[in-house]
Amino acid sequence: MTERECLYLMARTESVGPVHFDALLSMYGSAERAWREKKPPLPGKMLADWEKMHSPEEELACMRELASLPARGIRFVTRQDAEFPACFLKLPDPPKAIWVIGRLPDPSSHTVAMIGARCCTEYGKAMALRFGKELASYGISVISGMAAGIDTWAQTGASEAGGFSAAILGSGIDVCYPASSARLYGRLKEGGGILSEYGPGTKGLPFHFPVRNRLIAAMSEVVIVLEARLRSGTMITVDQALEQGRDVMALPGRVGDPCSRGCNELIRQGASILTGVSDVLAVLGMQEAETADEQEQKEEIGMSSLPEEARRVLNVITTVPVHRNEVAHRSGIPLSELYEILWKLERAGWIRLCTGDCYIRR
Amino acid sequence: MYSRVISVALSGIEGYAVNVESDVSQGLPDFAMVGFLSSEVREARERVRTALRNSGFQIPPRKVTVNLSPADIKKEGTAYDLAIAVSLLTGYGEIPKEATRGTALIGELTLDGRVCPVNGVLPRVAAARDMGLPVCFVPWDCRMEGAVIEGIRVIGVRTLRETVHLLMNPAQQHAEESPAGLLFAREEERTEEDFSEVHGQETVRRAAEIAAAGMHNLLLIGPPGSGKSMIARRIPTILPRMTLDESLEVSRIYSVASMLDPEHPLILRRPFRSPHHTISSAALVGGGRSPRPGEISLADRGVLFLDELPEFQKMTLEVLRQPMEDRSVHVSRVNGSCCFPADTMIVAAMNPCRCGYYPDRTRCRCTEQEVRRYLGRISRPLLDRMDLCAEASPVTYSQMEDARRSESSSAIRERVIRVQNIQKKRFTGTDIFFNSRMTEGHIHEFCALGQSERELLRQIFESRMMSARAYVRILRVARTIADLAGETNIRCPHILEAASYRSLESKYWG
Repeated sequence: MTERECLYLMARTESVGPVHFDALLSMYGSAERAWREKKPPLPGKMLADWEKMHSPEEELACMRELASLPARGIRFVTRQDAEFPACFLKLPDPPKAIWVIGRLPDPSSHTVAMIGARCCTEYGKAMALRFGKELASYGISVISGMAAGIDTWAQTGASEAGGFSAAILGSGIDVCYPASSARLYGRLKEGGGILSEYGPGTKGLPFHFPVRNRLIAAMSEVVIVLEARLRSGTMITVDQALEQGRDVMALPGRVGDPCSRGCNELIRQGASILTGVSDVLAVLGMQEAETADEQEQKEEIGMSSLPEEARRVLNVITTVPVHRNEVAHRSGIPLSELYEILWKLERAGWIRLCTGDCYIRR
Repeated sequence: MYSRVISVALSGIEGYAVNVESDVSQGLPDFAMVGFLSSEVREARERVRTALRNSGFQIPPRKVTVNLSPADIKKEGTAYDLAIAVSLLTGYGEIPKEATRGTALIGELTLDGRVCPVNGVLPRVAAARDMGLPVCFVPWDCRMEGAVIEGIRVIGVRTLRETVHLLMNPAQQHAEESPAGLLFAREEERTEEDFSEVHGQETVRRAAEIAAAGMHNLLLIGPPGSGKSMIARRIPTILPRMTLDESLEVSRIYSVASMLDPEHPLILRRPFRSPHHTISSAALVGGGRSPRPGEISLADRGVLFLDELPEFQKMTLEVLRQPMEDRSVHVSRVNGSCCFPADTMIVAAMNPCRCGYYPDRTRCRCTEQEVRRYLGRISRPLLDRMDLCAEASPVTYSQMEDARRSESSSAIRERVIRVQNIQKKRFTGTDIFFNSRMTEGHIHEFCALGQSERELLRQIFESRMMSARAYVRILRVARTIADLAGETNIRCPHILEAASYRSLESKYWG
C-alpha cells in the first residue's frame, strides 16, 4: 500500500485523534510503516478500532472510497500536500487530513470568520446578510460553519454578493448538516469551498462541533460575533480564537435582548466593537471604498428621491421587525395603499419581508 | 291476512320508502321478521308485541311474518316500530286496510305503548311528501320538526292507542302548523359576539372579511393570545343570513344527527363548529357503522374552526382534503354508500412553533428544526387548500386599552352581502356561487389580467419563490378583493394584497 493510502486509512480510523496520529507517525517514521503494525501502543478503544480497520473488508472499502472521491468532486488533502492550509499546521492538534469540495481560501486573501447563534433574531439575520455581502465586496473570504442561523445567513450574503465563502463542517464532507442549509451547500459547492476533517458519511455528532470550531478560528484573521447568548457554542469558538491569538469583534446588541448578551459581554471584556464594515477593514489594515459618512449621505440622497409616502413608510421601518399593522399605524397610511408602497420599497432593496408579516430595513 | 304500511328509512340526509309488510296466517304459531335487519330492528319484535299487549290489543298466537322491503338494503334504527305495530294490527284485522292507505308512520315504541322520538324526522317527512303521501305520523316530540315540511299533513302522536284511534277517525287528525316559511321569517337570534370587540389586528380582520366575502378557507398564524380564536368565532356574524334552502339543508343534517332543538326545528343561524383537536377522523368527516354526519357536515354553510391545527392527528387532517374539494362527504360501507353535504368555510388557527412566540427570539428558544417539525405537521396539500393565510401580531397593552371601538359586524356584513351578490350575478349559469370555487376555466374567464398586472404577478412569483398552485389561489383571492373594492377588473393593488396572504408560505414552509 502506498503512503497516501495508509494515510487515508489512518484518517478514517475515527477514534485515533490528531495527537495519537502524530505520535504514531513519529514513532514509526511513516504512515506506511505505522499501518503495518497491527498492535501499536494505543489505548484500548483506539486499538480496537485500529484492529477493526485492518480487516480486509474495511481496508477494501476505504480504498474503494478513496478511488471514488475524484468522481464525486471531493479531494483528500494530507498535511504533506501543498494545498493543506498552512494555518492549520500551527495548531497544537492539526487535522490528520482534510476532505475538500470546491476551493480553499486563497492564502493571499484576507479571511474573516462570521459566527453566531443558530436561533438568531431578524436583526441578527439582517446584519449577517449585510456584513457577509459587504465583506465579500472587498474580496474578503468569509469563513463559517454552515450552521442554521447566523452562519448560514452570513455565508449566503457573501455568496450572493459573488464573494468567496468557505464552510468548515462538523460532519462528513458529503453530509449536509443541517438539512435546512441545503441551498447554501449547493452554492458553496459551485462557487465556494467546503472542508471537513471527518470522513465521508460521518454524521454531525454534538462533540464534533467544538473540535471543528478550532479550525474556523485558525483559518481566519478576525473572528466577528454577530449574535450570541451568554453560554453558547459561539462563545467556545471565541475562547479558541483568543487562545490562537485572533482578533475578536462583536456586534453590539440591544440591552435586555438575550440573543445579544454574549456579544455585549465580549465588548465589556475588551473585544472590538463592530459598527460597520470599516471597523473590520481597519483591523485588517485595508482601505474602505467609502466612509460611513459618505454611505449615509448616499442613503439620504437615495431616500430623498423617493415619493413622500414611501419616505414616511421607510421612516417607521427600522432594524427591528415592524408588523404591517404597525407600519400603517405609525405612518398614517391606510393598509389598502400600503401594499403597493411596501412592495416597491422591497423591490428597490430598501426593506425586507420577514416572518410574522413584519418588515425590516436592509 | 296480508297488510302493508309505509315507513321511511334514512341514507345520509335523504329518506327512502320502506314497505312494512306483514302476513298473519293459520299454522304453527311463529313470529318471524325478515328484510336484512340490524339487531335493533330485529329487537322490534319484542318491543312491538309487548307494546301491543300493554295497549290493550289482543294478538292471538298465529303464524306471523313481517318483511321490510326493499329487502336488500340494511335497515337500521328504531323508527320502524310504529309501522310494524300498525302493520300487524292491520294483518290481524283490527284496523281496516283503507285506514292506513297514504300514511307514513315513523316512531319508536316503548313497552307500555308510548311513541318515542327518533332521529332524522325532517328528512323522513320530506321523503314521504316527495313520495306523494298526504299524511305522516311522527312522534309527538318531533311534530314541530316534521311540520317544517310543507305539502304534507304531519300528525304528532303520543301513544300507539292514539295512533290507532286517529287512523280509524281521520276527521280527528289534527295537523301541526309550522311551515318553514313562517319559521324562517323569525328574527335571527342575536349573538353577543361582535367584531367591534376585536382591537387592532387590522390585517387579520381584513383577511376574515375577504374570506367571508368569497367563502375562502382561512389560516391564522400568530402567538398565543393574539386573538386568533376570537376573530374566528366572529366570522359567522359577518356572513349573510342563510337562505331558506340552506336553512333546510342544515336542519336536515342536524335532524339526522339528533341535534335539533324540538322547539325551534329550523336552524337559522350559520353553524360554527369548533371540534377539539383530539377528534377522530370518523367524527370529523362522518362515518361509523351506520354513517353519521361528521363535524365538517355539521358546519355545512357555516364555519368549521380548527384551533391548534398542528395538534390534530395528521391522518385526521388529511381526510379533510377530499371534502374540501368536493364540498360533500361520501361514506362508503359494505351495505351501500351515503352522502353528506359539507359546503363549509374552514378556518384554522395555529401558533408558529411549539412555544408560540417564534420569530420573537427574546422569548422563543425553539431551534429551527423544532419550528420546522412543528410546521411540518401541516401537509403541503392541506396548506394549498387554504386560500388566505394571515399572520396575527402580538397585541400590545395600548391596543387593548384603546377605547375606540373597531368596526362592527353588521357594517362588515353589509359589504360581504354586497360582494356575494356580485358573485351570484357573475356566476349565473354556472354551478358555483363563490370566487373560492372557481376552477381554472372560470379563472380564465373571470380573472383576466392586464399587461402590468401580469408583469407584477411574474415579479412576485420570482421574488417570493411561489409554487404553481399559489397562482390560482392568488387570483381567486384577488378577484374577491377587487369585488370588495367594487372594481370589474383585477388591478395591481388587489394582486399585491392577495399575494401578501400567501407570502407566509415561503417564509414558514419555504
